Amino acid sequence: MKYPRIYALSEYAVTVEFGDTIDPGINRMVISLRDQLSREPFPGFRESVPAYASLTVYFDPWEVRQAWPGDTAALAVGRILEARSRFASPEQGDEQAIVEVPVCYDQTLAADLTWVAKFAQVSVEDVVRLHTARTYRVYMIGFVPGFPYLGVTDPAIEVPRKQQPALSVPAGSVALAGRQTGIYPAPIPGGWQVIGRTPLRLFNPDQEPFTTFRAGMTVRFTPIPLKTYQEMAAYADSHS
Amino acid sequence: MPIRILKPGLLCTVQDLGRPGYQSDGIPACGAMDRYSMRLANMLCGNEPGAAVLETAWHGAQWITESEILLAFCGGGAKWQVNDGELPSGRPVLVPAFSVISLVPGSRGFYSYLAAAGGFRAQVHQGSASTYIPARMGGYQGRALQVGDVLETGALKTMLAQRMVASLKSSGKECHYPGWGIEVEFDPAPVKEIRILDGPEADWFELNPGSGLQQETFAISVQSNRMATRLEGKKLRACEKRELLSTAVTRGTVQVTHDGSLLVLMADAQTTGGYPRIAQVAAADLPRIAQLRPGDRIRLKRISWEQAEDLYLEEERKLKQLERSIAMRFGL
Repeated sequence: MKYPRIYALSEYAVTVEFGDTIDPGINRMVISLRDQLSREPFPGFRESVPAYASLTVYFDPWEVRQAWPGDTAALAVGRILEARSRFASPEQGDEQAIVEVPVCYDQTLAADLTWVAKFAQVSVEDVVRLHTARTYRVYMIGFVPGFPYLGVTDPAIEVPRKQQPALSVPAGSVALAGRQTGIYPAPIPGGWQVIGRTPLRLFNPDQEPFTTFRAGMTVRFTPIPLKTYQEMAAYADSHS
Repeated sequence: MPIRILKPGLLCTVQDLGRPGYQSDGIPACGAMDRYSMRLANMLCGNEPGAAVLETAWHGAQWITESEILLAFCGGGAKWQVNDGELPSGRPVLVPAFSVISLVPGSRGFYSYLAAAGGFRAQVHQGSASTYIPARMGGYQGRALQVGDVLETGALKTMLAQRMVASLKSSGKECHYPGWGIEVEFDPAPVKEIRILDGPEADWFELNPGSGLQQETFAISVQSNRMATRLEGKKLRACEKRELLSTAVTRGTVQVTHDGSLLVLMADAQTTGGYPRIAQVAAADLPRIAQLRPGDRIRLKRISWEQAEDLYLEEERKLKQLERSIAMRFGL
């Protein structure tokens, strides 16, 4: 496959793919193209959605056709993105912010921690140590509002998804799947392996900012004891 | 001008044109399932096309007006009655105070739209009043309407809405409406044709839009909802086992799940997904697929991107013409 691969997703959306792997350099190209488009939007540009290795650009076909008559709007936007992609750089596309996420790895909040340790053939303490030892890139937000896809985890704690998704995963659950780690912003069904919980409230549409993460940010997990978790969670509840 | 919910029916929510602009935060675009009918309902009571309306799935809902109110009803799934007398859809109707409005089974379609002059007042999140139940956003406390809920309408903002009310000469006793109407058309064919475009992963499958998929017939599953319309029929086999890295999906994206069945993403579609995308429903056919009922049968027909864009632009032109013709009927 030759990259960037540019294709229409619909009459009003075009996707640029920079690769097909989870790779910080590829994701930086995605984010640098996102940033460039929001700095210099083309006529008819509406929004862009970063994923691991692709950026999808939404536009208004009416406005695009007025600026570039003759072709379909998708074709015109494809050409614009082809030109703009030349400036997408694997060295840019990092957000300055490092987000510290306190996580309690107590067994009472970590339904799958023991299973993960057993599967990875390490101790529970090792899972926590390996999970907190490195920083993670926010590759994309998706699945549900405010859910960050973080990567990549230490290969020693690589685990498969659950065969049967849990019916409800508590809000704040920190979980593993493959070499990804993520945080559930709301109580929803999910198939990732839960190893801890953060007292942070990641998504609240009534507040500004309403979400914590943005693709391109860096995240660090800090272990906290159960008592601290409970205090922080109580504080967060009384302020939302 | 309040309306009170007597019965919520199958699913009644506040909707508008949705909340685009936040998909990079994982927030779905949301909005009405059938935007064509929804926009038409708004035009017919002089509203801006994006004013908040009530969307109802199928029939069974019942409301009571607590003051005189200008309403328009469009879409499918139900016909509307006021105090047991059937009313025509697709036109502005001045309804007296304390009228009971009931949605009774209609012969075609699934989602209907009730617009009120001035629009319904609702909670706005991220620029939209559209109810998104999974994250409790927008509409009425972010949830489906329940017995006893009250919805207020806004002031008559447009000249057109004021003219409509004035010209329909209230008697305070019965409904008043003009002799003309604009009906939403439904495809009477037993197997309905839904036009599609090639999806980015179309060639991952033996049966694909360019080869064989167009000959298959699918039925709408009862498990369909505002997130996705599920199709029952032939299970598709992948040419080889491949995994797709999560990437953007949108309303109309046709995904193939692990067991080979097809699902068409709809208004509350998640913003990204990992299932291969075999096809994309043409934007002009999104209102039509929204109006299909469980059990309805469809065939997928492949068209070109040029055709799809022409159809989309044509539909937009048609709505603009309708808007113009409605205004002209009231001397504007």
